[in-house]
Amino acid sequence: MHLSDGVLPTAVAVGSFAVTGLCLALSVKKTNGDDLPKIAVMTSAFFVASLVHVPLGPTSVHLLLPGVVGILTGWSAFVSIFMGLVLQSLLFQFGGLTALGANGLMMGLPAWCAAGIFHYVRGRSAAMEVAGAACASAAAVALASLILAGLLATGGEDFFGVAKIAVIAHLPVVVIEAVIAAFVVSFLRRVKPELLDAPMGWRSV
Amino acid sequence: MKGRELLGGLLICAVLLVSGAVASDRGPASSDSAGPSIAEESRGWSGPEPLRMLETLHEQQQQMAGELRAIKREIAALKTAMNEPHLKDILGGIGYILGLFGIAFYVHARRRQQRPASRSG
Repeated sequence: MHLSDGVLPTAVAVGSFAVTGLCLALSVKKTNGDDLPKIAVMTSAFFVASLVHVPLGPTSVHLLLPGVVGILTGWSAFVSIFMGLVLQSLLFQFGGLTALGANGLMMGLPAWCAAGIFHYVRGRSAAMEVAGAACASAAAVALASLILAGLLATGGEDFFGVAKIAVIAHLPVVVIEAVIAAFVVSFLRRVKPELLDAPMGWRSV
Repeated sequence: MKGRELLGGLLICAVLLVSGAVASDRGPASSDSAGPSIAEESRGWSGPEPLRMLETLHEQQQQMAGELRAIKREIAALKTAMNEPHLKDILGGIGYILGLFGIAFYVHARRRQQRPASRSG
């Protein structure tokens, strides 16, 4: 799920760069320097995850991991994901450089959304936390599909048609990412629970 | 396409041969002035030799076409393989990420060192 060069109208591409810039600034401002190593590892995971292909009939879709990145890095998820996208676009030719702003929004906002959902359930019972993480991760992928459809709609595509296709195509990813998030959170809860306390509240940092 | 053209050529040649044979049967008694020359020409071309040549040409053409198709398929496979990320790219990307975050972490640590009172950097 990467937009390529020339898919979006110029105004939308430029506008999404502006919004992405603002989000990046907010994300950097909210980032706690002590968390940088963790963010670096999550960025690497996000960068590599897109190479893990899930076979789906004649085609295949790849993992996105915005949910897990959001849950583990909180506000810093946007920086993390944007950096992963820049390197994916430079090294793997996934998505165009001019569409980087749109791609950043498409992956970054769902990550924040997942972080918000997880922050909401954090501190409740174990089952609640694991279920919340799974829901957050699934919601992130679904939201990314909807943002993709919204961005393509600005280029003259039919919003509901694209949204339906994008969501259906990513249903396996939604399920798999929910399972991954549930597994990661249930594991980290037992092994290193402080990793899950990513700053996401407004008054954090 | 090439094969079909060649087949056409083969047919024309066969027709010429047959007509030549007919003409030679008629012999010099024919009143047609062009008759004898065609007959002589076709006599020069008659025999299995040109047919065999055409056949071998046709076979070669088919072989070449098959090989070309295989090469084209290989080129397409190479193109897709070239677009796929390699281990080099993956490791390089991870290196970039860790390196850049390492610099950021270093700057953060230096700032904290210069202001030991501040806890949040």
